[in-house]
Amino acid sequence: MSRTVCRHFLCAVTLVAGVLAGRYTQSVSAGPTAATASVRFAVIGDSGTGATEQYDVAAAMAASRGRLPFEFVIMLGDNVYGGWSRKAVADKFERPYKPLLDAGVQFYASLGNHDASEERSYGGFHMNEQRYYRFTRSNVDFFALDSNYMDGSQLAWLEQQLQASRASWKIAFFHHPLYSSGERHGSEKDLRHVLEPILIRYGVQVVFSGHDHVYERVKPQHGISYFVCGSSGELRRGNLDKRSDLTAAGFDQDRTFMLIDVADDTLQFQAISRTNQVVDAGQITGTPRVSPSASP
Amino acid sequence: MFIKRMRLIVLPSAIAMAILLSTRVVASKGATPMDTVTVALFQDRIAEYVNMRRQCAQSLTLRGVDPDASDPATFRQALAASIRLARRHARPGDIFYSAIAPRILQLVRSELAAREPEERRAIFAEVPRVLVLRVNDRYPAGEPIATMPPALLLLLPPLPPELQYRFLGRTLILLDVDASLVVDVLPYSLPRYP
Repeated sequence: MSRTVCRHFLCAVTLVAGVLAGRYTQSVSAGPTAATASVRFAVIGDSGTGATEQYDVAAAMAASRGRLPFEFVIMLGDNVYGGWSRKAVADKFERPYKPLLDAGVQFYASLGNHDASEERSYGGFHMNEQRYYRFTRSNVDFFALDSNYMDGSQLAWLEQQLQASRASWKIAFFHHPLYSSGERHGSEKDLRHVLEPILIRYGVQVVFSGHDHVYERVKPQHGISYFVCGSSGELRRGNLDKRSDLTAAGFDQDRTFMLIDVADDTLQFQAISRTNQVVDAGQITGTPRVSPSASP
Repeated sequence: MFIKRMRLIVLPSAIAMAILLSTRVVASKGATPMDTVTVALFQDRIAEYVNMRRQCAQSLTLRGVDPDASDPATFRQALAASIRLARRHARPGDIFYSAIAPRILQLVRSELAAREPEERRAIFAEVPRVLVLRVNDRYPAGEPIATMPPALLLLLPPLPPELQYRFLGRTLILLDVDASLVVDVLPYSLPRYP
């Protein structure tokens, strides 16, 4: 009973905090363009199958660089299925993304439940031995988290890093979605309970996750835009719950990846299918916001 | 006659309801912090393990096994072999020792019991069911690792980065992350699957 009351109280507090923050609105319009200098990246999740479809998505990503020359890719976990070996990483990462790697595109990984700990040491994933880490591009701070094991140390680290961040945009990415209409897994409520208050408090604007093998843009929750992009290799066709109130847009008929372009106060996004069809596009407009300097 | 029959139905139902409610209260109350002495002794054992592990890693480096080699698996396999040799006499309960084991067991069970059935099902759904691992076994390559419920993690005694709690079947294991080695086991931590 007390647990339920606590949760409701927490939800109410976070909702009020989100409304008071009033940081941005989400609107759907045209997708990214390459007109201004900006932070451009791609997003893939649950990619490392080594199957033909992963190679198709990789080829579509390489082709899309002509339209939007992204500089790096964030990986939402399940980067190499089936255990770690030199052959596995070659078949499931190095070969499919060779055109991108050869072009100097860098990959930043987060860990999924199918990923081996060896991935932290693999240079191609830029994790520097860490389960969770932060990196910065221009006015954007990225927080890669390990949602498999969200212990006190990681939560404390995240809070400290977010508090120190002075970036206009704060983007978090990790494997398990706080909100999802995937019927296989759905929303990770336990994770949401511990993580969401921190994301709200420190003004994280966008969160990318995988785990459910679909694409979904979730309606903004407490002022945060959530995307599920877990179909860049795996796919659970027809797995989006059509009755879900969470979905702003979704696609569960083929593999997808995302392209993101952040310039000043606007983040433009596209979700693109394996066959190069744009299945969702829009923009998020945010007012640059500085983290609170001290904990209350 | 009717009253007697009603008593037969209502009384056991009331008792069952009372037990159920009291179990739920105990379950909610179960997630209380453990006493500091018990936890301190547990953490002494953890520190002892981490120290031994550090020595294993140092001896590998001295023998030219490079932790920064291009294939991270080589060093980790060597580390696992070295730890296994150093702990060849290790037994279940060496780290989850007699005083901490029932406390952890009670904490895990009560924390899970306090959840909604839907949440419990979601947690259990991700736990690999068929595996039985013993102390010093390596976690099987390619097998997914069950996500630990964060709220539960925050109640368990904290661990250094080298070690993690994980569920495997109904067992709570202490896992050496880099060596993928089972350091200790606490069987029947999870209740039966719903």
